[in-house]
Amino acid sequence: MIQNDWLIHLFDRRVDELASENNLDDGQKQQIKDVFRFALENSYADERQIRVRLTRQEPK
Amino acid sequence: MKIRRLELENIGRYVSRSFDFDDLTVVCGENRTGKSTLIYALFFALFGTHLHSALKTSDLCRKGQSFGSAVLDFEAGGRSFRLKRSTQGGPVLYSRNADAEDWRPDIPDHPQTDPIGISAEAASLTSFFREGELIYFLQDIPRYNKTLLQNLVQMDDVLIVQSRFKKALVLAREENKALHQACPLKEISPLSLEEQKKQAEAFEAERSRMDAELKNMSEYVGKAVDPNLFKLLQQRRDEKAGALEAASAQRKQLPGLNELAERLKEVEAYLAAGGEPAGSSDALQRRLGELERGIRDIDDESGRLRRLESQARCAVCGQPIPKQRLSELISELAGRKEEAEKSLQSTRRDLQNALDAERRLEAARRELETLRRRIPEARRLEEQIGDLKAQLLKSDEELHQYQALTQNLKDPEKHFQRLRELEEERARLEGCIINARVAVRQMEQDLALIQECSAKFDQSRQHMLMCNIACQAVDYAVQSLNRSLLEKVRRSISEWAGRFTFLREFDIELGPQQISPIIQARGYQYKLNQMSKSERIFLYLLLKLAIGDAMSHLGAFVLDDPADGLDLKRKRMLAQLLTEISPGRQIIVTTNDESFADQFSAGSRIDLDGAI
Repeated sequence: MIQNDWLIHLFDRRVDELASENNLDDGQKQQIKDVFRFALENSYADERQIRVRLTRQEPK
Repeated sequence: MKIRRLELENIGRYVSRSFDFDDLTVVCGENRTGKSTLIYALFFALFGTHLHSALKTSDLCRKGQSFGSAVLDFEAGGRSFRLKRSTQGGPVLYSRNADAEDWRPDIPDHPQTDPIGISAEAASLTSFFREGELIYFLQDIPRYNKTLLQNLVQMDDVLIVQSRFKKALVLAREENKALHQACPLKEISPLSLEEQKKQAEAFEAERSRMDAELKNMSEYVGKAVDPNLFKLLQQRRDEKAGALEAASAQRKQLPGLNELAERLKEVEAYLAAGGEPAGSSDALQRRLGELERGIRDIDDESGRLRRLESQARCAVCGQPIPKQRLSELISELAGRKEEAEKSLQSTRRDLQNALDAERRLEAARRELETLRRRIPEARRLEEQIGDLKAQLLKSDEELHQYQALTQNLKDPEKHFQRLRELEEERARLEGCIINARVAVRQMEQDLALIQECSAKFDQSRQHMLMCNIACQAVDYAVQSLNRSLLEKVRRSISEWAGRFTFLREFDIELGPQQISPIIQARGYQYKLNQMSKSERIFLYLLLKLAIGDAMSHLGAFVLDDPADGLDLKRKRMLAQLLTEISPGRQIIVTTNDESFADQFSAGSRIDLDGAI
């Protein structure tokens, strides 16, 4: 959706700002962005799945 | 997008019919001639679903038929497309270039490329004007607008996603809170642990000092110096002395054992000999009785003879009584009586002696029994006295020992008091040591737990940070999108403002500052309610066209009987407006009003006459 694209663009921009303020690394930034896309694309993804994906330790 | 042709088979009332569309197409027909069916079929051909979300696609099938199909020809992006769709099968898309004649299956270069461009939900809101929607709009215009805006940008879904991110943050916070609750409330510094350990050690040192003092006192006085023990010893000694005294008093009442034994022998010998020699008391009693009867007989005979002596003759035989003989007989009887009385006296003495002897014998027997009873009793008493004397001696010794132990203490009571105080203080110290040790152990466990939790805390804080950043970013994106979309709608309405001139009659200006309150329902409900039905319908159409223009749409507006409820003036205005915008946006409008259909000065017209 056009709105979703715009929404994702806005989200990503804000994540970049906040990540810079809070010293998040690129991996964590990308993790948050991926979870937002996942939540938009999958209506079944509830808060537990979102939290698990947000807090999952990605292998470095 | 321009819709050019629609072919229907077994859809609604149509068995097989096709419709061609121009940039402006007016579909005119009376009620029940298939106008709305045409709109539903068009929507089905585009999106494969029913325009009414509550209905199924199978409801579109002609009565008695199990399936129906639609073929839609349209132009988009300079290309022509043919979309075939059945109520039972998936869509098939064909395309052809402008100069070609054959339709070929369309394989998009990119999966995201969609010739239709928008979703069924968005199209149903921005491009299709439904009768039911109009009724809803008339009932509550501001709420309708708010809902419309949210639905247009799929804000429902976005708001759900936003809500889920917030809940995810709440879950992360709850996890962090649970970690805090599982960990000790206070931060424990190693310094306070050391202090606690030192205090425990100080308590133990004090206890050791006290133990030494207690040991010293105990060795010095021993346990025997307990005043209670002295009282007990004294009491026992007194009891034994009392018992000894009582036993001695009892013993004194009895003769000596030797004396008793000799007396026993005497009595036994006396009894063995059968007592003193004396006649039988019974025989003597009988003899005494006989003698007494003999004396009485003599007296009776003497009395009779004396009576005879006073008489001259015998009263029986009448012969003279010999006086001499009578005197001799009387004298003889007197002699016999004297002898008998002597014998009686002697017998009485014998009887008395015999009775005395019997009494003594009986007394000897009783004495024998008493002696036999008293001898063991005297022996038991003597043994008891011996035991008691021994016990008393022992008690005296114990008391002597006790006195010997305590005689070195100047003030035993004071000493005992100190001993008791020391023992109480030691017991208190013992409690303090236990408490201190427990506190140390607890602090050590807490420290270990804190160290264990520390890593989890860091991880949890990181989780919260991630969730928090995601939430903030979602909030920002949603709010920005809202503002952006609202701005687009404002701009669009500003462009359409020339058509809203009738609103000035209600003091409603459609400048940039005034548009959003109308859409967002702030303070305008009263003015909106003052409008006539015709004015409200017109406002609905204009707002929806403006909003649809602002948002993405099909590039076509499909209006189902929009003239219903409009006055003549507004019908004319609407027809004029739709005609004006039709070159840029395709218009398909249905009506059952011939006069309204006649207002359109351009475009094509489809008259539905009931043909199927």
